[in-house]
Amino acid sequence: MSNMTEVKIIFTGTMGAGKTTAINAISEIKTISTEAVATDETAQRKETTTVGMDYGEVTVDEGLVLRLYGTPGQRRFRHMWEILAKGALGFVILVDNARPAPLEDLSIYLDNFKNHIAASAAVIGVTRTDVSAQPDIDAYYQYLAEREEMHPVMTVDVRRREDVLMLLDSLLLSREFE
Amino acid sequence: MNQPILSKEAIALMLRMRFLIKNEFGELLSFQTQEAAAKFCEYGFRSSQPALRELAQLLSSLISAPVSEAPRPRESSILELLASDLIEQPVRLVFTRIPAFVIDKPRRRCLLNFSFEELLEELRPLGTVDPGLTRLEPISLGELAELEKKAISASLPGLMWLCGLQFSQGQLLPKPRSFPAFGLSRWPDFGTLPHAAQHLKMATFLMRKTASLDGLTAGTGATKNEAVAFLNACFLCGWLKRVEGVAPPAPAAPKSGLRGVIGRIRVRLGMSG
Ligand SMILES: Nc1nc2c(ncn2[C@@H]2O[C@H](COP(=O)(O)OP(=O)(O)OP(=O)(O)O)[C@@H](O)[C@H]2O)c(=O)[nH]1
Ligand SMILES: [Mg+2]
Repeated sequence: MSNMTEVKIIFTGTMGAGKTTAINAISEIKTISTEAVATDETAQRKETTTVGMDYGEVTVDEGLVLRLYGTPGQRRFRHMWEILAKGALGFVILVDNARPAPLEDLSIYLDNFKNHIAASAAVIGVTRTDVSAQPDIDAYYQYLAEREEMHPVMTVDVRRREDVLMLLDSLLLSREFE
Repeated sequence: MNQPILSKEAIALMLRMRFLIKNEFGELLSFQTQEAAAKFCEYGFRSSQPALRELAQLLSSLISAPVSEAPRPRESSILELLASDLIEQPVRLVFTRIPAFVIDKPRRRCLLNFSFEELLEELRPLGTVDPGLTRLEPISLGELAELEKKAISASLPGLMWLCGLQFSQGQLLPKPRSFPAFGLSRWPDFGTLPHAAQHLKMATFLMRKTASLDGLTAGTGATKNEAVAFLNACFLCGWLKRVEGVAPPAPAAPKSGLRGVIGRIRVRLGMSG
Protein backbone atom coordinates (compact mmCIF):
# COMPACT_ATOMS: atom_id res chain seq x y z
CA MET A 1 0.00 0.00 0.00
CA SER A 2 2.91 2.39 0.56
CA ASN A 3 3.29 3.42 -3.09
CA MET A 4 -0.41 3.93 -3.45
CA THR A 5 -1.64 7.40 -4.18
CA GLU A 6 -5.08 8.00 -2.74
CA VAL A 7 -7.60 10.58 -3.76
CA LYS A 8 -10.98 11.05 -2.19
CA ILE A 9 -14.25 12.47 -3.34
CA ILE A 10 -16.94 13.38 -0.86
CA PHE A 11 -20.64 12.83 -1.47
CA THR A 12 -22.77 15.00 0.71
CA GLY A 13 -26.33 16.24 0.96
CA THR A 14 -29.51 15.85 2.94
CA MET A 15 -30.92 12.58 4.16
CA GLY A 16 -32.28 10.58 1.30
CA ALA A 17 -30.69 12.75 -1.38
CA GLY A 18 -29.00 9.65 -2.77
CA LYS A 19 -25.46 9.53 -1.39
CA THR A 20 -25.48 5.80 -0.69
CA THR A 21 -27.15 5.05 -4.02
CA ALA A 22 -24.62 7.19 -5.93
CA ILE A 23 -21.58 5.61 -4.29
CA ASN A 24 -23.07 2.18 -4.91
CA ALA A 25 -23.42 3.00 -8.58
CA ILE A 26 -19.69 3.43 -9.13
CA SER A 27 -17.85 1.66 -6.34
CA GLU A 28 -16.20 -1.56 -7.42
CA ILE A 29 -16.28 -2.93 -3.93
CA LYS A 30 -19.47 -3.58 -2.11
CA THR A 31 -20.02 -0.28 -0.39
CA ILE A 32 -19.41 -0.26 3.27
CA SER A 33 -22.12 1.56 5.05
CA THR A 34 -24.19 0.97 8.06
CA GLU A 35 -27.81 1.24 7.21
CA ALA A 36 -30.22 1.45 10.08
CA VAL A 37 -33.94 1.38 10.04
CA ALA A 38 -34.92 4.98 9.70
CA THR A 39 -36.60 6.41 12.71
CA ASP A 40 -36.90 10.15 13.06
CA GLU A 41 -37.25 12.55 10.13
CA THR A 42 -36.30 10.01 7.52
CA ALA A 43 -38.88 7.42 8.31
CA GLN A 44 -41.64 8.45 5.92
CA ARG A 45 -39.23 8.85 3.04
CA LYS A 46 -37.34 5.61 2.90
CA GLU A 47 -36.72 2.56 4.97
CA THR A 48 -33.09 2.94 5.92
CA THR A 49 -30.64 5.71 6.59
CA THR A 50 -26.88 5.61 6.82
CA VAL A 51 -25.47 5.85 10.28
CA GLY A 52 -21.86 6.92 10.20
CA MET A 53 -20.63 7.19 6.67
CA ASP A 54 -20.58 5.43 3.34
CA TYR A 55 -17.42 4.14 1.81
CA GLY A 56 -16.72 2.86 -1.66
CA GLU A 57 -13.65 2.68 -3.86
CA VAL A 58 -12.35 2.34 -7.37
CA THR A 59 -8.86 0.99 -8.02
CA VAL A 60 -7.66 3.21 -10.82
CA ASP A 61 -4.40 1.39 -11.52
CA GLU A 62 -1.61 -0.24 -9.50
CA GLY A 63 -0.61 3.08 -8.02
CA LEU A 64 -3.86 4.92 -7.54
CA VAL A 65 -7.04 4.37 -5.60
CA LEU A 66 -10.11 6.57 -5.63
CA ARG A 67 -11.96 6.63 -2.35
CA LEU A 68 -15.58 7.64 -2.24
CA TYR A 69 -17.02 8.85 1.03
CA GLY A 70 -20.60 9.68 1.84
CA THR A 71 -21.16 12.01 4.75
CA PRO A 72 -23.88 10.97 7.12
CA GLY A 73 -27.05 12.80 6.28
CA GLN A 74 -28.39 13.08 9.76
CA ARG A 75 -27.25 16.22 11.44
CA ARG A 76 -26.26 14.53 14.64
CA PHE A 77 -23.26 13.08 12.75
CA ARG A 78 -22.06 16.46 11.61
CA HIS A 79 -18.80 16.29 13.58
CA MET A 80 -17.58 13.71 11.06
CA TRP A 81 -17.92 16.05 8.10
CA GLU A 82 -14.80 18.03 8.83
CA ILE A 83 -12.59 14.99 9.20
CA LEU A 84 -13.82 13.59 5.91
CA ALA A 85 -13.51 16.83 3.99
CA LYS A 86 -9.82 17.40 4.57
CA GLY A 87 -7.79 17.04 1.39
CA ALA A 88 -10.67 15.98 -0.81
CA LEU A 89 -10.35 16.27 -4.57
CA GLY A 90 -13.88 17.61 -4.66
CA PHE A 91 -17.45 17.48 -3.41
CA VAL A 92 -20.57 16.05 -4.94
CA ILE A 93 -23.50 17.80 -3.31
CA LEU A 94 -26.75 15.95 -3.85
CA VAL A 95 -29.97 17.89 -3.40
CA ASP A 96 -33.33 16.18 -3.11
CA ASN A 97 -35.61 18.41 -5.18
CA ALA A 98 -38.71 16.93 -3.59
CA ARG A 99 -37.93 18.31 -0.16
CA PRO A 100 -39.63 21.50 0.97
CA ALA A 101 -36.71 23.93 0.52
CA PRO A 102 -34.01 22.45 -1.70
CA LEU A 103 -32.07 25.71 -2.07
CA GLU A 104 -31.83 26.05 1.68
CA ASP A 105 -30.67 22.45 1.87
CA LEU A 106 -27.99 23.28 -0.67
CA SER A 107 -26.85 26.29 1.30
CA ILE A 108 -26.16 24.12 4.35
CA TYR A 109 -23.56 22.12 2.45
CA LEU A 110 -22.08 25.04 0.53
CA ASP A 111 -21.63 26.89 3.82
CA ASN A 112 -20.40 23.93 5.74
CA PHE A 113 -17.70 22.95 3.25
CA LYS A 114 -17.03 26.48 2.07
CA ASN A 115 -13.28 26.56 2.59
CA HIS A 116 -12.75 23.03 1.36
CA ILE A 117 -14.79 23.69 -1.76
CA ALA A 118 -12.90 26.92 -2.42
CA ALA A 119 -9.70 24.89 -2.33
CA SER A 120 -11.05 22.14 -4.58
CA ALA A 121 -14.33 21.99 -6.51
CA ALA A 122 -17.97 21.05 -6.15
CA VAL A 123 -20.71 19.78 -8.40
CA ILE A 124 -24.40 19.89 -7.56
CA GLY A 125 -26.60 16.97 -8.52
CA VAL A 126 -30.32 17.63 -8.27
CA THR A 127 -32.20 14.39 -7.65
CA ARG A 128 -35.89 13.47 -7.70
CA THR A 129 -36.78 16.06 -10.33
CA ASP A 130 -39.25 13.42 -11.54
CA VAL A 131 -41.11 13.93 -8.27
CA SER A 132 -40.73 17.71 -8.13
CA ALA A 133 -39.63 19.82 -11.10
CA GLN A 134 -39.29 23.00 -9.06
CA PRO A 135 -36.99 24.71 -8.32
CA ASP A 136 -35.65 24.30 -11.84
CA ILE A 137 -32.00 24.40 -12.81
CA ASP A 138 -32.23 28.10 -13.69
CA ALA A 139 -33.30 28.78 -10.11
CA TYR A 140 -30.23 26.95 -8.85
CA TYR A 141 -27.93 29.02 -11.05
CA GLN A 142 -29.73 32.16 -9.95
CA TYR A 143 -29.18 31.16 -6.37
CA LEU A 144 -25.49 30.42 -6.93
CA ALA A 145 -25.09 33.79 -8.67
CA GLU A 146 -26.57 35.49 -5.61
CA ARG A 147 -23.99 33.70 -3.50
CA GLU A 148 -21.29 34.68 -6.01
CA GLU A 149 -20.35 31.07 -6.47
CA MET A 150 -20.33 28.99 -9.60
CA HIS A 151 -20.54 25.21 -9.74
CA PRO A 152 -22.02 22.85 -12.28
CA VAL A 153 -25.64 22.00 -11.53
CA MET A 154 -27.12 18.94 -13.17
CA THR A 155 -30.37 17.07 -13.06
CA VAL A 156 -29.55 13.49 -12.12
CA ASP A 157 -31.09 10.22 -11.17
CA VAL A 158 -28.35 8.65 -9.10
CA ARG A 159 -29.84 5.20 -9.66
CA ARG A 160 -28.28 5.51 -13.11
CA ARG A 161 -24.56 4.95 -13.19
CA GLU A 162 -24.05 7.24 -16.18
CA ASP A 163 -25.59 10.14 -14.28
CA VAL A 164 -23.20 9.63 -11.38
CA LEU A 165 -20.29 9.39 -13.81
CA MET A 166 -21.40 12.66 -15.38
CA LEU A 167 -21.26 14.34 -11.96
CA LEU A 168 -17.82 12.93 -11.30
CA ASP A 169 -16.56 13.94 -14.71
CA SER A 170 -17.65 17.54 -14.30
CA LEU A 171 -15.90 17.57 -10.95
CA LEU A 172 -12.72 16.10 -12.38
CA LEU A 173 -12.74 18.43 -15.37
CA SER A 174 -13.32 21.41 -13.10
CA ARG A 175 -10.12 20.49 -11.32
CA GLU A 176 -8.29 19.81 -14.55
CA PHE A 177 -9.07 23.24 -16.00
CA GLU A 178 -8.70 25.28 -12.81
CA MET B 1 -36.11 46.30 -36.21
CA ASN B 2 -38.80 44.02 -34.97
CA GLN B 3 -41.79 46.17 -35.82
CA PRO B 4 -43.69 45.24 -38.93
CA ILE B 5 -42.89 47.60 -41.76
CA LEU B 6 -45.86 49.50 -43.11
CA SER B 7 -47.58 48.78 -46.38
CA LYS B 8 -47.20 51.14 -49.39
CA GLU B 9 -50.77 52.36 -48.95
CA ALA B 10 -50.17 53.33 -45.37
CA ILE B 11 -47.01 55.21 -46.23
CA ALA B 12 -48.79 57.01 -49.07
CA LEU B 13 -51.55 58.02 -46.67
CA MET B 14 -49.04 59.30 -44.20
CA LEU B 15 -47.35 61.37 -46.88
CA ARG B 16 -50.64 63.01 -47.68
CA MET B 17 -51.31 63.58 -44.02
CA ARG B 18 -47.92 65.03 -43.49
CA PHE B 19 -48.64 67.65 -46.05
CA LEU B 20 -51.68 68.72 -44.10
CA ILE B 21 -50.06 68.32 -40.71
CA LYS B 22 -47.14 70.42 -41.81
CA ASN B 23 -49.44 73.39 -42.25
CA GLU B 24 -50.83 72.80 -38.85
CA PHE B 25 -48.00 71.57 -36.63
CA GLY B 26 -44.80 72.06 -38.51
CA GLU B 27 -42.43 69.30 -39.55
CA LEU B 28 -43.07 65.67 -38.76
CA LEU B 29 -40.27 63.57 -40.10
CA SER B 30 -40.42 59.87 -39.53
CA PHE B 31 -43.10 57.82 -41.20
CA GLN B 32 -41.54 54.42 -41.57
CA THR B 33 -42.84 52.43 -38.68
CA GLN B 34 -46.03 51.26 -37.07
CA GLU B 35 -45.25 53.47 -34.13
CA ALA B 36 -44.97 56.55 -36.36
CA ALA B 37 -48.24 55.65 -38.06
CA ALA B 38 -49.91 55.48 -34.68
CA LYS B 39 -48.61 59.01 -33.96
CA PHE B 40 -49.98 60.23 -37.28
CA CYS B 41 -53.38 58.83 -36.37
CA GLU B 42 -53.28 60.55 -33.01
CA TYR B 43 -52.48 63.91 -34.61
CA GLY B 44 -55.11 63.34 -37.25
CA PHE B 45 -57.91 62.52 -34.81
CA ARG B 46 -57.16 65.62 -32.78
CA SER B 47 -56.96 67.87 -35.82
CA SER B 48 -59.44 70.59 -36.65
CA GLN B 49 -59.19 69.76 -40.36
CA PRO B 50 -61.90 67.30 -41.46
CA ALA B 51 -59.69 66.02 -44.31
CA LEU B 52 -56.98 65.14 -41.86
CA ARG B 53 -59.40 63.42 -39.53
CA GLU B 54 -60.70 61.35 -42.41
CA LEU B 55 -57.21 60.32 -43.46
CA ALA B 56 -56.41 59.39 -39.89
CA GLN B 57 -59.47 57.14 -39.86
CA LEU B 58 -58.32 55.45 -43.05
CA LEU B 59 -54.78 55.04 -41.81
CA SER B 60 -55.97 53.65 -38.53
CA SER B 61 -58.02 50.95 -40.23
CA LEU B 62 -55.07 50.15 -42.49
CA ILE B 63 -52.54 49.68 -39.74
CA SER B 64 -54.81 47.72 -37.45
CA ALA B 65 -55.57 45.18 -40.18
CA PRO B 66 -53.08 42.33 -40.37
CA VAL B 67 -50.36 43.13 -42.86
CA SER B 68 -51.15 40.81 -45.72
CA GLU B 69 -47.65 40.29 -46.90
CA ALA B 70 -45.15 40.88 -44.17
CA PRO B 71 -41.64 41.31 -45.41
CA ARG B 72 -39.69 38.13 -45.18
CA PRO B 73 -37.02 38.25 -42.54
CA ARG B 74 -33.56 38.13 -43.96
CA GLU B 75 -32.49 35.20 -41.80
CA SER B 76 -30.84 32.77 -44.12
CA SER B 77 -31.22 29.62 -42.06
CA ILE B 78 -33.33 28.24 -39.27
CA LEU B 79 -30.39 28.75 -36.93
CA GLU B 80 -30.20 32.45 -37.74
CA LEU B 81 -33.92 32.73 -37.33
CA LEU B 82 -33.74 31.12 -33.88
CA ALA B 83 -30.88 33.44 -32.99
CA SER B 84 -32.67 36.60 -34.12
CA ASP B 85 -34.60 39.02 -31.97
CA LEU B 86 -37.71 38.38 -34.06
CA ILE B 87 -38.75 35.76 -31.54
CA GLU B 88 -38.32 37.67 -28.28
CA GLN B 89 -42.09 37.69 -27.72
CA PRO B 90 -44.48 34.75 -28.18
CA VAL B 91 -44.89 34.24 -31.93
CA ARG B 92 -46.25 31.71 -34.37
CA LEU B 93 -43.78 30.97 -37.14
CA VAL B 94 -45.52 30.23 -40.40
CA PHE B 95 -43.40 28.64 -43.10
CA THR B 96 -43.94 27.69 -46.70
CA ARG B 97 -42.24 24.34 -46.31
CA ILE B 98 -42.91 23.07 -42.84
CA PRO B 99 -45.84 23.17 -40.41
CA ALA B 100 -46.23 26.29 -38.30
CA PHE B 101 -45.30 26.25 -34.64
CA VAL B 102 -45.17 28.65 -31.73
CA ILE B 103 -42.12 29.86 -29.87
CA ASP B 104 -42.77 31.32 -26.44
CA LYS B 105 -39.37 32.58 -25.43
CA PRO B 106 -40.38 34.27 -22.16
CA ARG B 107 -41.58 30.89 -20.90
CA ARG B 108 -38.76 28.97 -22.56
CA ARG B 109 -41.00 26.63 -24.51
CA CYS B 110 -42.35 25.88 -27.95
CA LEU B 111 -45.91 24.80 -28.62
CA LEU B 112 -46.44 22.24 -31.34
CA ASN B 113 -49.24 20.34 -33.05
CA PHE B 114 -46.85 17.46 -33.56
CA SER B 115 -44.04 15.84 -31.65
CA PHE B 116 -40.70 17.43 -30.86
CA GLU B 117 -38.98 14.67 -32.85
CA GLU B 118 -41.11 15.48 -35.87
CA LEU B 119 -40.20 19.13 -35.54
CA LEU B 120 -36.51 18.28 -35.57
CA GLU B 121 -37.00 16.13 -38.65
CA GLU B 122 -38.84 18.97 -40.38
CA LEU B 123 -36.17 21.45 -39.46
CA ARG B 124 -33.22 19.30 -40.42
CA PRO B 125 -33.19 20.13 -44.14
CA LEU B 126 -33.47 23.82 -43.26
CA GLY B 127 -30.26 23.93 -41.24
CA THR B 128 -28.38 26.16 -43.61
CA VAL B 129 -30.95 27.23 -46.17
CA ASP B 130 -33.56 29.96 -46.15
CA PRO B 131 -36.30 28.48 -43.96
CA GLY B 132 -39.03 30.03 -46.09
CA LEU B 133 -40.63 31.86 -43.21
CA THR B 134 -43.68 33.69 -44.50
CA ARG B 135 -45.17 35.20 -41.39
CA LEU B 136 -44.51 35.89 -37.77
CA GLU B 137 -47.78 36.23 -35.91
CA PRO B 138 -47.63 37.75 -32.45
CA ILE B 139 -49.60 35.66 -29.97
CA SER B 140 -51.68 37.21 -27.25
CA LEU B 141 -51.70 35.86 -23.72
CA GLY B 142 -55.27 34.69 -24.24
CA GLU B 143 -54.37 32.70 -27.31
CA LEU B 144 -51.36 31.31 -25.51
CA ALA B 145 -53.61 30.02 -22.74
CA GLU B 146 -55.88 28.38 -25.34
CA LEU B 147 -52.90 26.77 -27.08
CA GLU B 148 -51.58 25.41 -23.83
CA LYS B 149 -54.63 23.20 -23.58
CA LYS B 150 -54.19 21.41 -26.88
CA ALA B 151 -50.63 21.84 -28.06
CA ILE B 152 -47.59 19.81 -27.13
CA SER B 153 -45.23 21.87 -25.03
CA ALA B 154 -41.53 21.25 -25.61
CA SER B 155 -38.50 22.84 -24.02
CA LEU B 156 -37.16 25.78 -26.00
CA PRO B 157 -33.60 25.35 -24.70
CA GLY B 158 -33.98 21.72 -25.80
CA LEU B 159 -34.85 22.85 -29.32
CA MET B 160 -32.17 25.52 -29.43
CA TRP B 161 -29.55 23.13 -28.12
CA LEU B 162 -30.29 20.37 -30.62
CA CYS B 163 -30.58 22.77 -33.55
CA GLY B 164 -27.22 24.26 -32.64
CA LEU B 165 -25.56 20.86 -32.33
CA GLN B 166 -27.12 19.34 -35.44
CA PHE B 167 -27.48 22.16 -37.94
CA SER B 168 -24.33 24.24 -37.58
CA GLN B 169 -22.35 22.64 -40.41
CA GLY B 170 -19.11 24.20 -39.25
CA GLN B 171 -20.43 27.76 -39.43
CA LEU B 172 -20.53 29.99 -36.38
CA LEU B 173 -23.64 32.15 -36.27
CA PRO B 174 -22.98 35.78 -37.28
CA LYS B 175 -23.20 37.18 -33.76
CA PRO B 176 -20.79 34.81 -31.99
CA ARG B 177 -18.56 35.02 -35.06
CA SER B 178 -17.91 38.61 -34.06
CA PHE B 179 -16.90 37.67 -30.50
CA PRO B 180 -13.13 37.98 -30.01
CA ALA B 181 -13.27 35.13 -27.50
CA PHE B 182 -15.81 33.08 -25.60
CA GLY B 183 -16.85 32.28 -22.09
CA LEU B 184 -19.92 30.57 -20.64
CA SER B 185 -22.30 31.88 -18.01
CA ARG B 186 -23.37 28.42 -16.80
CA TRP B 187 -23.12 24.74 -17.59
CA PRO B 188 -25.83 23.37 -19.85
CA ASP B 189 -27.95 20.88 -17.90
CA PHE B 190 -26.38 17.73 -19.23
CA GLY B 191 -28.80 15.74 -17.14
CA THR B 192 -31.56 16.66 -19.58
CA LEU B 193 -29.82 17.81 -22.78
CA PRO B 194 -28.50 15.12 -25.10
CA HIS B 195 -24.76 15.39 -25.23
CA ALA B 196 -21.42 13.72 -25.75
CA ALA B 197 -18.54 13.65 -23.26
CA GLN B 198 -16.83 16.29 -25.39
CA HIS B 199 -19.58 18.80 -24.58
CA LEU B 200 -19.10 18.45 -20.85
CA LYS B 201 -15.40 19.02 -21.41
CA MET B 202 -15.90 22.12 -23.56
CA ALA B 203 -18.45 23.54 -21.13
CA THR B 204 -16.17 23.07 -18.15
CA PHE B 205 -13.25 24.53 -20.09
CA LEU B 206 -15.22 27.67 -20.95
CA MET B 207 -16.53 27.96 -17.39
CA ARG B 208 -13.02 27.92 -16.02
CA LYS B 209 -11.21 29.82 -18.78
CA THR B 210 -12.04 32.00 -21.72
CA ALA B 211 -10.84 31.11 -25.17
CA SER B 212 -11.10 31.76 -28.88
CA LEU B 213 -12.35 29.00 -31.13
CA ASP B 214 -8.76 27.85 -31.66
CA GLY B 215 -8.13 28.02 -27.94
CA LEU B 216 -11.16 25.89 -27.26
CA THR B 217 -10.15 23.18 -29.71
CA ALA B 218 -6.55 23.24 -28.50
CA GLY B 219 -7.59 23.10 -24.85
CA THR B 220 -10.14 20.30 -25.15
CA GLY B 221 -9.13 18.24 -28.16
CA ALA B 222 -12.51 18.90 -29.79
CA THR B 223 -12.58 19.27 -33.57
CA LYS B 224 -13.45 22.65 -35.06
CA ASN B 225 -16.88 21.38 -36.17
CA GLU B 226 -17.65 20.04 -32.70
CA ALA B 227 -16.59 23.31 -31.10
CA VAL B 228 -18.59 25.44 -33.55
CA ALA B 229 -21.73 23.37 -33.02
CA PHE B 230 -21.28 23.57 -29.27
CA LEU B 231 -20.73 27.36 -29.32
CA ASN B 232 -23.79 27.90 -31.52
CA ALA B 233 -25.90 25.72 -29.24
CA CYS B 234 -24.77 27.64 -26.15
CA PHE B 235 -25.34 30.95 -27.92
CA LEU B 236 -28.88 29.98 -28.90
CA CYS B 237 -29.61 28.99 -25.31
CA GLY B 238 -28.28 32.34 -24.07
CA TRP B 239 -25.27 30.96 -22.19
CA LEU B 240 -22.42 32.12 -24.42
CA LYS B 241 -20.53 35.19 -23.25
CA ARG B 242 -18.63 37.62 -25.40
CA VAL B 243 -15.10 38.04 -24.12
CA GLU B 244 -12.97 40.95 -25.31
CA GLY B 245 -9.43 40.33 -26.36
CA VAL B 246 -8.40 37.08 -27.92
CA ALA B 247 -6.80 34.83 -25.38
CA PRO B 248 -3.97 33.00 -27.08
CA PRO B 249 -4.51 29.26 -27.27
CA ALA B 250 -3.40 27.85 -23.96
CA PRO B 251 -0.14 26.00 -24.40
CA ALA B 252 -0.57 22.43 -23.31
CA ALA B 253 0.19 22.79 -19.63
CA PRO B 254 2.73 20.35 -18.28
CA LYS B 255 0.92 17.56 -16.49
CA SER B 256 1.08 18.45 -12.88
CA GLY B 257 0.66 15.68 -10.35
CA LEU B 258 -2.99 16.51 -9.97
CA ARG B 259 -3.71 16.61 -13.69
CA GLY B 260 -2.02 13.28 -14.16
CA VAL B 261 -4.13 11.74 -11.41
CA ILE B 262 -7.31 13.18 -12.90
CA GLY B 263 -6.40 11.84 -16.32
CA ARG B 264 -5.88 8.35 -14.91
CA ILE B 265 -9.20 8.38 -13.09
CA ARG B 266 -11.03 9.59 -16.17
CA VAL B 267 -9.50 6.85 -18.28
CA ARG B 268 -10.36 4.23 -15.68
CA LEU B 269 -13.98 5.36 -15.47
CA GLY B 270 -14.31 5.40 -19.24
CA MET B 271 -14.61 9.16 -19.63
CA SER B 272 -13.33 9.87 -23.10
CA GLY B 273 -10.69 12.42 -24.12
N1 LIG C 1 -37.80 8.95 -7.75
C1 LIG C 1 -36.46 9.09 -7.64
N2 LIG C 1 -35.84 8.41 -6.69
C2 LIG C 1 -34.51 8.55 -6.58
C3 LIG C 1 -33.77 9.36 -7.44
N3 LIG C 1 -32.47 9.32 -7.08
C4 LIG C 1 -32.42 8.50 -6.03
N4 LIG C 1 -33.64 8.01 -5.72
C5 LIG C 1 -34.03 7.12 -4.61
O1 LIG C 1 -33.87 7.91 -3.45
C6 LIG C 1 -33.35 7.13 -2.39
C7 LIG C 1 -32.02 7.71 -1.94
O2 LIG C 1 -31.63 7.01 -0.79
P1 LIG C 1 -30.14 6.90 -0.27
O3 LIG C 1 -29.20 6.65 -1.39
O4 LIG C 1 -30.16 5.91 0.82
O5 LIG C 1 -29.92 8.35 0.28
P2 LIG C 1 -28.79 8.86 1.26
O6 LIG C 1 -28.40 10.22 0.79
O7 LIG C 1 -27.73 7.85 1.40
O8 LIG C 1 -29.61 9.03 2.62
P3 LIG C 1 -29.09 8.97 4.16
O9 LIG C 1 -28.15 7.84 4.28
O10 LIG C 1 -30.33 8.73 4.96
O11 LIG C 1 -28.49 10.28 4.49
C8 LIG C 1 -33.21 5.74 -2.93
O12 LIG C 1 -34.36 5.01 -2.60
C9 LIG C 1 -33.11 5.95 -4.45
O13 LIG C 1 -33.58 4.84 -5.15
C10 LIG C 1 -34.48 10.08 -8.47
O14 LIG C 1 -33.92 10.84 -9.26
N5 LIG C 1 -35.84 9.89 -8.52
MG1 LIG D 1 -27.05 6.83 2.93
